[in-house]
Amino acid sequence: MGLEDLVFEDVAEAEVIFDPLRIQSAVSRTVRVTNQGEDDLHGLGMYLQSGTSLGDLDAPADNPPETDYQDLLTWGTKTDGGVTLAGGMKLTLPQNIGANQVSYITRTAGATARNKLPFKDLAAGESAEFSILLETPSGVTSRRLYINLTLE
Amino acid sequence: MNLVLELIIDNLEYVSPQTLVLPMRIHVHKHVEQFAYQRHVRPGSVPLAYLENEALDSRRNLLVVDRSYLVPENSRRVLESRGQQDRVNSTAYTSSYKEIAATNRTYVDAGGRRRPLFYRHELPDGVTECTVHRIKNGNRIQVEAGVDIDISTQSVYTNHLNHYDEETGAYSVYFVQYSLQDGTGGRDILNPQPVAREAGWEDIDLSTGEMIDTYPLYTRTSNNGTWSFHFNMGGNWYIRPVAAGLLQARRPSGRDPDEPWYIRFTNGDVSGIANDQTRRYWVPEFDEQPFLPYKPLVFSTANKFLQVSRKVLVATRGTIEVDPDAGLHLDLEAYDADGVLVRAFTTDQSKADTRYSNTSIYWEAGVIDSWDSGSGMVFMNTHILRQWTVRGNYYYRADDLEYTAVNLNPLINPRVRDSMYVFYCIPGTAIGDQAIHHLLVSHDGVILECSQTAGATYPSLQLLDDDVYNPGTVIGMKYWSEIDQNTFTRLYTVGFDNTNAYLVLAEVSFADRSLVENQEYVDVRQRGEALDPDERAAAYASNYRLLQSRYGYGEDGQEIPENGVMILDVPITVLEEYGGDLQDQQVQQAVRRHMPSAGYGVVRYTYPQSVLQAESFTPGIVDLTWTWEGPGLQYVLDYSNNPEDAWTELYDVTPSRGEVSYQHQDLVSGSALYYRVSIVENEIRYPASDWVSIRVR
Repeated sequence: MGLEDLVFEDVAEAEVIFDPLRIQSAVSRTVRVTNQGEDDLHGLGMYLQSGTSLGDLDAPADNPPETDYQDLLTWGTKTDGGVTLAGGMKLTLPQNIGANQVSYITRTAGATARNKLPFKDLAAGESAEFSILLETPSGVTSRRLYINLTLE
Repeated sequence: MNLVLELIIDNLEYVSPQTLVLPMRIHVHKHVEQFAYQRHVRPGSVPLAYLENEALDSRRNLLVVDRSYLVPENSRRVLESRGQQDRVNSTAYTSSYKEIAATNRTYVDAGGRRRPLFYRHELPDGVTECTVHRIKNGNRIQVEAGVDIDISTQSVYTNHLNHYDEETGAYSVYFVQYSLQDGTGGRDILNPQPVAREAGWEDIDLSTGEMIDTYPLYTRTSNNGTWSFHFNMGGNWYIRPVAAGLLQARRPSGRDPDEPWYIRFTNGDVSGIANDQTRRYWVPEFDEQPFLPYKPLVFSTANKFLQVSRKVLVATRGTIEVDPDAGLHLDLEAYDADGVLVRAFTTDQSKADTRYSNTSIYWEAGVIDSWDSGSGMVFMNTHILRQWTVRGNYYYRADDLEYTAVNLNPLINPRVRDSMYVFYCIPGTAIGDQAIHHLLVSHDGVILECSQTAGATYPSLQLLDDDVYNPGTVIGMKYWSEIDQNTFTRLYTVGFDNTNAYLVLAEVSFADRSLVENQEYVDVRQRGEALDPDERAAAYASNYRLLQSRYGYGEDGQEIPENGVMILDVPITVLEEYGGDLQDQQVQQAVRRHMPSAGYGVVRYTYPQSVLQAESFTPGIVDLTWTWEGPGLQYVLDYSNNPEDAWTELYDVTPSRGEVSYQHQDLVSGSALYYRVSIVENEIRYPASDWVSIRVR
């Protein structure tokens, strides 16, 4: 299947990502995705899902995966709706036409497969880069979250 | 495709997890495990081993040393040597022995000598003729000698007694076969009763107040150490003393490990010179037994019966008293190997066909045919199976005292195992006192326990007397010593210089005759961490996850088809080309007919296949082996230079059993060959196995 041939690579470290990618708040991280399959991939989109990792023994998640997922959606929805100034996950995604699209992950955008954020098509062997930024919402103390970012 | 992110908010202030060592007391609660010997495996317990040993038996495992001969008048050997048979022509007789056998019936033996017959078997009313047979170990012999049949008195006079040896199983049983006036007949086990017996209250003629004189009776009175007997009729009397009048120990009637083993003492009454004085040894506590319905009858329950033959049982006690007309009934209960009641027999006609307690077993009357009171034998009208255990409730004529103060069963009384019990009789005991007492002697000869409390004529020998130390106690004293003069035996018993003259009746100890080599041992451990097969359904119902574990389908879980695919195994023999009646398309339709519409069925034809292996260690030779798949199958070995081309049959065989092999010789070294095996069954050749290739060495 073509989607299985997508490989993520950390641009800064120039390493293929196997373990959970650590992203600190307020620091943008760029990731390169490559279609190593033989088929061209169309209609791609990116959305958030509950984390499948609970962290390792020394760095566990502070809350259950569903709590982390819902909190990110809440923060992004509030920020996108103007209730708060900052907070949530902001993605910069390449498009087929035009410039990269920057958008928060909200309940209506990027929360499920149905409202996934559009991503450019990847032909066989083609790569694309996108970036992830985590904004610290106000009133939130130090916290470790685990989340799944799905591209399909 | 998923990318897992670890998001950290405000890293500068984020404190990585810290470890903190907390002092803790750890309480480990472990279920107490108990190793126990049980007869059945209870739920929740784990069987470890099955052990089978020879069961304890009071006959075999109790060592009873008889010391009652120390008073010569009480010696059985003296009685047998001195107490010969007397003949008197009088109604009075005097003897130094309490119990006698007396008769006025005689017969003439083969040598013309007149001999007494001491026992009488009562025939039923209306007997016209009868014979006596003896059955010994299965052989039936008619008895002529030693028997006098008197139809006029409906009696058979004899000296024969039924006998059964428990050690060897040998038996000698007499039967009386008779014909009645109405033409019918019958057969009873010989029930020899003394010809003359001591008169009782039932032998008084109520109209005259005199003793009945229609059958022989005698009265007995004690007279300064001798016994006077008066008979109710004149003529010649033949008399001999019997050992029942001596004061002697008898083995317990209980035999099994789960029964109490109470030693018994005969109700003897002996007077003799002991320690330079005439003393009387008797058992006043005999009269205080719970007689039922009257003295000397005692009712006893749940007594075991041994099996003499398929139809003859014998009570372990040795004597029974059965008289249905007088209400002295015999009840027998037969249990199977699991202890479940299977049949119940009774002589009580009123209980016939009534239910036994709350079981589905009904009392059967008329099955107990006849009995011998003297030996305890019972003749049944039905076969008694070997695996049954028979227990009975019956009356018996007590002539002994059961000493219930001490249970000699080592499983119930562990002290028996390494100590000795000494039973002794105090002479001249007053009525109401206890004559027989016991000592518990340790293995190094020290007295640990004594039952003798103060009586009218004897002191207390216990440690305390009214909670005050008793200076006359024997506790701590040696029972016997060659050196020490201060022993119980020297100070208290007959034969030594003392005034007590206690008669030691028996010294009883436990004899461990078991051998470890005779123990049967079977390891019944089961692999642990497994579900109890009986609880499996309940376990799955309460935790369905067990199904997908190694306790259920296995560690890989249940094989389920993805995407609705179902593999359907069909024997290949349903196809026409393999002897069946269907074509492939018909099979496909048939097996898919009842499948769900969303499912996709894949038909896989099954047939016997061998696993073929090839090796070439010798130049020019290939060794082939393949697996044996069942009896009656023919194996055809083919080979080819190219698996896509034609195959040549090389070898065929129909082996009986075991791995099959073949050696292909004279081959060109370096050539590549391909082999396959086909199985032929009932002239149907199944598809070949996977071919194997090999390069010839």
